[in-house]
Amino acid sequence: MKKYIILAVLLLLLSTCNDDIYAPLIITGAVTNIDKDGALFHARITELGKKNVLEFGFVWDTNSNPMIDKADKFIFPDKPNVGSFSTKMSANLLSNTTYYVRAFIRTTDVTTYGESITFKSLGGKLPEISSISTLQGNVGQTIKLKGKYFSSKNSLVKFNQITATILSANQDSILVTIPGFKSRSSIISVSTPDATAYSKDSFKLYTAIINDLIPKMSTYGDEMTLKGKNFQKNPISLYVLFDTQKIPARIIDDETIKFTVPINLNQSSCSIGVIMNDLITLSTDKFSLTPFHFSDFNPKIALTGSTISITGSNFSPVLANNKVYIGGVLAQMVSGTNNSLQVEMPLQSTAIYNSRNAIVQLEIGGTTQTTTNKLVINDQWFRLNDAPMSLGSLSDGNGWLWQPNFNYRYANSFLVSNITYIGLNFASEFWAYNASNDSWSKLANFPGKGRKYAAGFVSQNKIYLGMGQADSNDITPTFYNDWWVYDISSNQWTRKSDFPETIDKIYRGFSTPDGCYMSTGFSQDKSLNYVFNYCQYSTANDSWTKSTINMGQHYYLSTSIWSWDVLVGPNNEVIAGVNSGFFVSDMYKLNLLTKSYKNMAVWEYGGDPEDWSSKFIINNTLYIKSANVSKVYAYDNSSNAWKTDTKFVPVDFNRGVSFSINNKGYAGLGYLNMMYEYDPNR
Amino acid sequence: MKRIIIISLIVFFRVNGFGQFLDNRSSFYLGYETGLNLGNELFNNQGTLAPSFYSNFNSICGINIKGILKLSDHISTGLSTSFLYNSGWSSENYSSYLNSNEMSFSLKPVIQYHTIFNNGGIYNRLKLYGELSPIIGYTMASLANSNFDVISAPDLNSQLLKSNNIFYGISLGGGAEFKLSNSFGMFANLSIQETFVESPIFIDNRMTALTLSIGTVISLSKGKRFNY
Repeated sequence: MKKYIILAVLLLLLSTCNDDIYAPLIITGAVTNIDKDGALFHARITELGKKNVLEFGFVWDTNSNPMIDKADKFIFPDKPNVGSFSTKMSANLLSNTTYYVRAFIRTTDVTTYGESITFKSLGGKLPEISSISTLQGNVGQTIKLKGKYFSSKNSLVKFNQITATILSANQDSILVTIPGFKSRSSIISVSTPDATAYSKDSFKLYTAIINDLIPKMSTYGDEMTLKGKNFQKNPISLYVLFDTQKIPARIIDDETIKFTVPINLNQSSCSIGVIMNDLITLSTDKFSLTPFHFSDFNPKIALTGSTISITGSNFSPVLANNKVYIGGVLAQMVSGTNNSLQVEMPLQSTAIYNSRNAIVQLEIGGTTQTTTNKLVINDQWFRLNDAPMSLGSLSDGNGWLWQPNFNYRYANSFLVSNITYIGLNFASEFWAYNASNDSWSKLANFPGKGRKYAAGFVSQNKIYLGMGQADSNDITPTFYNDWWVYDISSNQWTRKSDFPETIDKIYRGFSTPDGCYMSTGFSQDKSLNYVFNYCQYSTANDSWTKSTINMGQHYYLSTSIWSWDVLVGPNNEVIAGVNSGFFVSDMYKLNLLTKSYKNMAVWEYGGDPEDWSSKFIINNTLYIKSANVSKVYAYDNSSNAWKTDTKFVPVDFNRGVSFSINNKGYAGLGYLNMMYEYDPNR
Repeated sequence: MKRIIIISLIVFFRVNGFGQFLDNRSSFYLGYETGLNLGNELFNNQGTLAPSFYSNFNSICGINIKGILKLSDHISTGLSTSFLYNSGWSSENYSSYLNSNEMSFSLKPVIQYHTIFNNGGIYNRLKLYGELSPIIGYTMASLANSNFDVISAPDLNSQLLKSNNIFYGISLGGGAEFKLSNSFGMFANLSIQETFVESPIFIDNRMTALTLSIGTVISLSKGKRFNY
């Protein structure tokens, strides 16, 4: 008896438990039955582990140690238990290719792979699609493709060339998300690396059907109704389309949806459609916005930069969609409601209005309305079209470099029969400017060299022009003495006799009813008296006659070449000015016939030599806009007094052109190619 | 010389060995055991072929202890135990268990059918026998490398290097013992054993081995009778 007890104890001791293995274990078997249709994979589960087995099967790849998420995968449909399993694998096996296969078993917490076994494939079978879980569906929906020999790793599913997202795949089925394939139906294809299978049946997307649009005219924010079918097939993807704008819809039932006219709709008439599954169904009816009405604007006379009120009805709730054009310029929207808008007129530094009597237009949703009234732009300075002249030199010869598009200086202007002829801003271009319609015409180029400080005058509808200085520095200048006449009627230049004198100064040209003149301004004679130097040109003889006016001794007179200008003022009086160098200028009225002069009231200008200023005579009043200073000075001939007009002067016309036509002044060029009209009566 | 040897053997075998072959005598065997694992390179477990763990061991060695109690003239019974060590795993095409080894301890209740004791002649000293015994044992496999890749529990891979399991089976064998004296002799035993085992870390569920034991036998008398 004792013997048996000892034996039993011994057996009990021997039968102790195994190690506490909680993972499932699976052994990969050797691959057998390899032929052109595939190979037989084997595995044996030796341990199920302690957790629920989710799946078990094989993974294979051309890379060693294939993993579930990266390799082709086969999952046994069987319930896992300890024992052997095998399956004939035909999917995604290329002939003469070495594969690595290993069995795997996965629980909720671990995945165990067996040993990696290698084999050389002799081929597999091509994929086949046998069925589709549903033949009609929606974008984003999941469908299952059933068939044979799919690749879990390398399958590619397409709907009309649009690749679908594969959620899961194995040899016999593929779960995909339907993509938006921009078509109502599609054949489905499944591709593996060596073949493509096509579904026998077409897959169709649900589309909306529209029968009626109620109402067909409405305004922003109004509720509308579409009658049709299939609206509940895929409500997530359903939108109403206003032309190109998608808006959400409220589905009442499968045949009715309601929606709101978008407040940002910017078309007075557009097509209406329904988008479902990325497919658009258009209504045969067009939608129209209730027309807006532009009734009036105020004030009728305004300055640029001021605010204009627009009144009417059915304006767009989105301010930016209400576009107000004043004289062709888009006004800046300030505020507004359904029936009123406030806009600000842009300043002329950024805008060119096409007329002082500006048409006011309101454009909403592509429809434009105007009023019969026009808005009068009452700025003294009114910007005209930019001069089309070529840019002058980027250097002024003195070492100053001008930024691009910033040098239109030194041009001359000549007024003949209300047409202004402008040219020679370094270049040789010559243009005609018609102020009545704000237009420019290019004329024959000046035959001589481009230059600065050219001088000339008008006589008998001909323009005489020449002399001046090369584009060189002002310390050692190079002067020209060539002399030309431009025949307006023939648009031709003819060279005349060169100026006979040696030129070492800048000349100013001017003409009066008595003759045509050139002047170098003031100088001192041997008796230290100041004299005004000029010479008269005979157009008949093409000859010059020098002359002077003795000015006596004047404290303020200077010999500086910079400090003078000559112009023909009111009553055709010749006016010469001089800069004292102390910010005070003397000006004189000169009588070239009697060789006498009169003092004019001292002009206190802003500090720049007056030869850079713009000058024009309007109603026998001399106006000078000094360069670099935003002021206009007016000289009252009767009271011999200057007054300053402090109204805004928009641009510095430094060494630009200026002239007057029909009681309006014009100034332009200089640094920029802008042109302005000046109306002192505004 | 030949004649002398023949005469000596005849005289030797004609000398009776009294005492040790009486009824109810028991014998104890202690021997060195070696053998050969039978089987193929791959083990087929229900159609799954994988490198065999046991069949590819090239070396078996260990000791065998056995106790026998005579029940009748031809029948004896007893208990045999073996401690064996398997090593030298090699395979022509696989490396799954290279440098692995296995130790086992087994118990075998033995039923022995043997020749009758004669008071003289060759069977006075020589006993030939056949044995049949069930086997139950404990095997301790120790792997050099894990053949599993346990994702999310990498520490488990090291645990999977050992597997201790109970095995059972049957052994069929035969042998001979030769008495040099009343209580001392030698024996040789050849047996083939088929055992069954289940381990999670290898495919084998059966092992077949041919073993040879050689050693000494000591016999004890329960009730001595002297025939001098």
